[in-house]
Amino acid sequence: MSAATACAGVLVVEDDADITEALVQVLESEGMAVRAAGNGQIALDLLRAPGSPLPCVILLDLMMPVMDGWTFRSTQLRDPTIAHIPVVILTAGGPAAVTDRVRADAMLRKPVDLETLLATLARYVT
Amino acid sequence: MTTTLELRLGEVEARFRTMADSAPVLLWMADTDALCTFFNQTWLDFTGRTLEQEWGVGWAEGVHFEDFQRCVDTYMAAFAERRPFEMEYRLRRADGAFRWVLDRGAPRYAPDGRFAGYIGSCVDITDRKDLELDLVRAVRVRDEFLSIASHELRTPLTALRLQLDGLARSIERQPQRDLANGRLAASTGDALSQVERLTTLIERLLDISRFSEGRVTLMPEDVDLVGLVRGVVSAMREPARVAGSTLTLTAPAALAGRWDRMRIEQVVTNLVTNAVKFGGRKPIELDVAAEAGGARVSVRDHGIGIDEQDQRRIFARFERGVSARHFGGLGLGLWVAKQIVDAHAGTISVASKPGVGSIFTMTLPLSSHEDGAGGAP
Repeated sequence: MSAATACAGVLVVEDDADITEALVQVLESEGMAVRAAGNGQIALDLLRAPGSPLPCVILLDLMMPVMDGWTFRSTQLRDPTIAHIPVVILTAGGPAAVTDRVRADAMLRKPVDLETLLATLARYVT
Repeated sequence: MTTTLELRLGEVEARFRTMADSAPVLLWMADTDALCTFFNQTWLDFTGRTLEQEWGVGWAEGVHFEDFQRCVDTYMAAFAERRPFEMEYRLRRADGAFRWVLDRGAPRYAPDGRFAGYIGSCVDITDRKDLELDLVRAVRVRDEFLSIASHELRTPLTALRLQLDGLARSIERQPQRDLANGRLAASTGDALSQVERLTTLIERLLDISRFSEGRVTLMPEDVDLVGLVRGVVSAMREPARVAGSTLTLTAPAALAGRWDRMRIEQVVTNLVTNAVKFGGRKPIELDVAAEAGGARVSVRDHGIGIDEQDQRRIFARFERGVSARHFGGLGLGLWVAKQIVDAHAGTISVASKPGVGSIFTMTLPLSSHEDGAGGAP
């Protein structure tokens, strides 16, 4: 319960700088605290860094260099300190290729419309 | 007398032998014991071996070891039943290269009807096989390219769409709604609709690579087909109005079945989009009806129509009934539609007359076979 109340904003895990910038801009203008990580490994490092508050939700791209979204998700689920954080997938891949192999709380396809994105994130960000 | 007959027989045999030796195919003959007793000169030239070497089962030494057992099995099985056979295998040529040959054999009979063995001919089909392989490879490369391209194109579109959506929201939030703001909002809306259009085009590109890899898996759910078509009609009403056409729907109150909602919606949208595009500013009529064990949706327009020749090819990939300069699009819509309907074990067809209009009809069984829910409801 304390974990849920102590969460802050969104963690965007995305390797494309333009998409990251656009996401940060639109989400911040909606009043959300946004942090960004360029791949799964950077995201894990951020989440495991002591002292920083955990995000309320992770917006996760799947195809990324260094550590992709699938690996990130399975690593996250094995780490009890961060396993509870909900994950929303944002991917350019087809639905079949994705749903088969990754467990997620929600799935959005690129390009996503802001309305849908905000409504989805609002379920987790308080 | 006997000598004259023998002489004449000898002449006949010589003539046939010359014919056989100069034939542009590899010929062989086998006796009743399945052992080969004759190879024409074309065969011997091809393998670079002598008749003595090829005699009996000697010829099999030239067959590629990977094909050998299959060949022997095919040959012996056909021989035992005295039926014709056909087999492809690799045969070593005189220069050591293995060439694919197509070997056709048939039982032969003596004039008195007695089984006399087999006769067969082979042709070199290596070039054809190479071409087939090249074709398969080319298609794969093309599909891979499409898949990568559509993925890559989606990335900038995602950023663009988010930025435009953000912009639209900021404009909306402006306290004063003056003229400049209104124009800005309209332009943003226009830009967004172009993004939508690009997204649809990319989606179609991805669809062809997906469908041609046979990767489409249906996600059947309980669907009211009437509600689904009604939804498409209301979404398409505005574009139809702009194009000068009206949409009317004739349908029962509901028609329930198990289908992939999104995919069927895609098909109906495609048919209506085509009707709007080629409908010549005339009314478009949709009809949904129950059929024996299934459902039928038809879309009728009174536009330019499609001639008979084109009707046959519009369901093929990259085909379109009219020139690309007049009407935009990739010419993929109907091909994708057909793949979707096929996957549902349904049918899609067209009846049309140039200058009169077209009617596209889709039929669907009430539950798609992938569901495994065959039998009565």
